Amino acid sequence: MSEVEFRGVTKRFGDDTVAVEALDLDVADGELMVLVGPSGCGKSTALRMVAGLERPTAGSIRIGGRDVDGLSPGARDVAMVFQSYALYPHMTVRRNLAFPLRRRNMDKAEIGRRVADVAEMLELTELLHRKPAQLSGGQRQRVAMGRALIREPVAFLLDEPLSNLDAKLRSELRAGLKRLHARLSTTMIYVTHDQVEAMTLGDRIAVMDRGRLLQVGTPEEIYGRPCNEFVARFVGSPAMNLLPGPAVGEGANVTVGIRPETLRPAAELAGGLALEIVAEVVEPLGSDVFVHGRTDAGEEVVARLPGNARVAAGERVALAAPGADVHRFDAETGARLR
Amino acid sequence: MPLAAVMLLPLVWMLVTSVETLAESRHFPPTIVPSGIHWENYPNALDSAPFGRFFANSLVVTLASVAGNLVFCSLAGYAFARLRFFGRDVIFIVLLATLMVPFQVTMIPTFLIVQHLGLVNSLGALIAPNLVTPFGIFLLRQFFRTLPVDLEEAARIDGCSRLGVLFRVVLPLSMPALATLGIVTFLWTWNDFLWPLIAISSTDQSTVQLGLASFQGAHQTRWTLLMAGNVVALAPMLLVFVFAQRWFVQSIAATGVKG
Repeated sequence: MSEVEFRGVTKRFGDDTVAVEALDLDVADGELMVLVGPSGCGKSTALRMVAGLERPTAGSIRIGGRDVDGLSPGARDVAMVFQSYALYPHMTVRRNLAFPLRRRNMDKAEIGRRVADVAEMLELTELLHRKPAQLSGGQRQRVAMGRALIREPVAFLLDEPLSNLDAKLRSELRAGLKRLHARLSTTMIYVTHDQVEAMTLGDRIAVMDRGRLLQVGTPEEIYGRPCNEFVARFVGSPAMNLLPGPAVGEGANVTVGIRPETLRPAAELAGGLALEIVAEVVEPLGSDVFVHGRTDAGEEVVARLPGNARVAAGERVALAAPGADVHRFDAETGARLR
Repeated sequence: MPLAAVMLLPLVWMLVTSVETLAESRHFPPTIVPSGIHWENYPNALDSAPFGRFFANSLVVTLASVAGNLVFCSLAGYAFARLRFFGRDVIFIVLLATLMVPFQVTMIPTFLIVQHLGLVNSLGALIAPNLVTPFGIFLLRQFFRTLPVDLEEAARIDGCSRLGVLFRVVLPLSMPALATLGIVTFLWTWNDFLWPLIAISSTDQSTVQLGLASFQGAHQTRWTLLMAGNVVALAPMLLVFVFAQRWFVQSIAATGVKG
């Protein structure tokens, strides 16, 4: 069993900076949990506390049912992949992979066998004699994954492991990571600021902002029923349109949220919530057309219409969203109303 | 080129003087091309005092000081660079401030301490005060701070203790700084004259620099023998430089960390 539990975990730096505040979170055995949020939201600090690189100011962390608060990073049986990969530049790929095993005084033959296995799984066999400086970004990332995998730890901690790569490689490695998780079924905690990465990878997602955990749920739950305006805006691309109630014929104490992809030309949709905008910028992407415009009250609205929609800049467009897809938030607190 | 010629002039003059006759060495203006090459200055210089012993003494003192500096300055430098402890920055500033105190101020207290330890007139008197230097701590601390913290954190997660991190990750990546400290300590210790002059009184504990001084008397200086001795005393430093420089360049090439 290798579940990770945060119990009221708080981390303060100095007297006035609260990085993580009273975090309660359970990551189930074998689950891939994504911590997502804007930079400075405390997600990396939370991860570093699991690794033992930071000590919680209050609260406790348990890994596999064992309280790890007093344990050094090396004694926690977790492996971490860093954003910078943190490969030892003076060692070859082979020695980088073997390093954690040698520190545990593992038998030489066993180390050789594991290095060969991991190298084969990650297609690193040809690169074993090279040093990190002689590898491409993608190769380095795979070596960093390999160094984590080789220990067969109870949990993997990944701190923005793909953010230094270009978009194409990122999506390839994302798929590779997902396959790897399906194969190993080891608990993983994955930190990212990229909501697309969070949505595509996570079994569950924990959205954080300013040290607080806002919502935990499956990608569908987070996308379909965001708990407040922040989560609503943070998840989904382009971001959800948030309009003051009076702009769409509702009360002043309500903020109405409509995802750009749920808006349709009013002619195609009977009923629902109607909205008229003047198109300002039209971006045809082939499969979709993004229309950026404003309501008469001056509120910005983005609509993602089917590729065959014909809209010109300056044109008045009548849009509508199905009633079931309209979100309502408290105008004052930002909390979801139902 | 002209600048290089100016820099080389003293060296050339030293080499020329070392193979001249005594009369030529005292001639004014100086003779740049000697009448003949008098190699006998070298055996004469080395035979005029137990230079073999002096070299051995200098070598022991220098190597011990280099080793001491590399080990102790690494430990202290790492502590100042990475460990969090009460008063760290204040202690470091005080340490830096000691760099501004001239040796002439501290030599008598140092002598008293060495005397108290019973080391006067032994090689220990030359080694002990030089085992660790504020300059070395400062140099390594500054270098350690430039290394990515991620590497050290990765090593800790991979199972290294703090000392393990220092010896397995930090020091192998700090070869340029260690080579620099090694060279500088070697030069300082090998060339040091004043402290050995104070701490050593017997011939069998003397260093090369004290031996060379014996060519300079109150009434006359045997320049040819002095320069021949100097050329021989210079050889180890040149060797160290040639070797350490190659290492230096290799280390810089190997630290291509990110890309």
